[in-house]
Amino acid sequence: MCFVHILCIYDIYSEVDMEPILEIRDLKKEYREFTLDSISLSLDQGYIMGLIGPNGAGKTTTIKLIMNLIRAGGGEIYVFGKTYRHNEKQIKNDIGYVGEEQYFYEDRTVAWTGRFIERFFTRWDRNAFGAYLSEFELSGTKKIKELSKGMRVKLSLAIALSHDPKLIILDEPTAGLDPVVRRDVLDLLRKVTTDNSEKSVIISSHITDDITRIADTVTFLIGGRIALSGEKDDLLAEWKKVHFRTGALQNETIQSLLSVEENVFGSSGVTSEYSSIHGMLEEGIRRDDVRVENMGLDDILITFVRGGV
Amino acid sequence: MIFHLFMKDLRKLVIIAVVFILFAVIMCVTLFSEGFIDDNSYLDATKMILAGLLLHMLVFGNLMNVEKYEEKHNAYRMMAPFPVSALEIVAEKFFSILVCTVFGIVSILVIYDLFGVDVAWQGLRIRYLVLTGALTLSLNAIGYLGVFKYGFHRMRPAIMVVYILAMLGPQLTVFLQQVGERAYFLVKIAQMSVPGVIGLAGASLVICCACFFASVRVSESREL
Repeated sequence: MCFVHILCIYDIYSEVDMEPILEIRDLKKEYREFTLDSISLSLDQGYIMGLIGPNGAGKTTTIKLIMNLIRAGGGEIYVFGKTYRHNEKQIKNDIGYVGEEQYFYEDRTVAWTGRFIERFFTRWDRNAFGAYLSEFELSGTKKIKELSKGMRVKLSLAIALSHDPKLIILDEPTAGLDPVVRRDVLDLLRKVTTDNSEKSVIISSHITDDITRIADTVTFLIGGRIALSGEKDDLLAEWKKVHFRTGALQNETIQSLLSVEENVFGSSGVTSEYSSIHGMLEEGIRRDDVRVENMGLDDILITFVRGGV
Repeated sequence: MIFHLFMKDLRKLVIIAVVFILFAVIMCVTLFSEGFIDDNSYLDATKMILAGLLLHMLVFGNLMNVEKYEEKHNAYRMMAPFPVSALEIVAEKFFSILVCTVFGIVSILVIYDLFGVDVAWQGLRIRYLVLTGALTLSLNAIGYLGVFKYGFHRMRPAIMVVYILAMLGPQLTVFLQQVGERAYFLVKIAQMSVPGVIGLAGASLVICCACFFASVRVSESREL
């Protein structure tokens, strides 16, 4: 058996038995007024995961735990199949992180900041950093304190991407940005992950449009718990709002709907299993006694938050 | 990595080092002039005591200056997501107090030898500066442990108090009227055996090491 054959077999084996980039099991963190309760999730290579939740749902806490910036009260975190114990530098060398707040030496320039940070990473690409600065129209001679919020986020993103990270973690990166900068940031992220399918991304936001635009999988965090998790397209396909006139649906079907309420049309409710009740709605749809409306991620979030589920 | 982090703090150290050298030279020059007018032994005691004060000023001043800057810019939060370990961050800080102390001792020796050589100073200088250096090293190591545990903002008053006490101890004797009384603690140092000096310096190194490992532990468990 030649060496190339051995490599091919190894590649096939690796693909079949590929470890997730990130795996979290029963993660807990207790604060006086908030508890993150048994979070479990997994992210495969090449995927973009959106963490959605209202303010105070635990998104930042989860991300800080993933980054080992705070200590867990229980559970396990595996990044690239390793725990942080004894592997912190190795793991962080492969993560690009953009936090909620961007901290820099304010009196230093953008170029100095790049030179200071590049020594931390083994795969820092000076040319890539320069290219990102040009793309974001960030001048190297500008002092950090002269940068706007949007510019600081862009600088953080340039730093996060310039060392060829395998996992990119972004905590509310678009909060407080104007729509143009928001779009720039999201487009760049999409481009980076499309160009290199080995990169995975976790992005938290309460701006569901951002998640809808770029995420492959979505996890809803509400009150410190995972309320729902799955592929974005599946969720959007299964979660529908059903409007129906009185008597148009059987009781059994109505009972399967969530947050049923009366309205001008008659009544309406939410289904999370549209494909399984579609058959029961067909007759009503044809008679125009039943109307089905698509839901966005924000509608699903609101359904959860208002206690409909 | 430690050296890279140290280079960042070097700018602050250089500023305070220049001030330190300036003070030392001015002090030497002015006291030397008075020495010809007054009594020569008066000169020795005051100059030596003030050398200790300058050393404390340099090392404490550097800690205060650097940590104020780090806190102002949330430096530890900034570095937390990067692949730099708590051990490296703490080691750099302890390395900087060691560099400061050694630089201070060497500078004082050179400046004093240049501007005011006399027999009494030459006999005592190494012993006195080693002991003062050991004291300032241990106090700053304890100060850093507090900074890593509670943050600079909360530790600042405590560090200031320790700094003043460390300076005021022997330095208070400068204001005593009798030369003999002023030089009393210097005589005691002069009478100390070499193993005694080495023992005290060693004890301060042990304190430093203990503070270093405790600081690493505290930094590793700190939540940012």
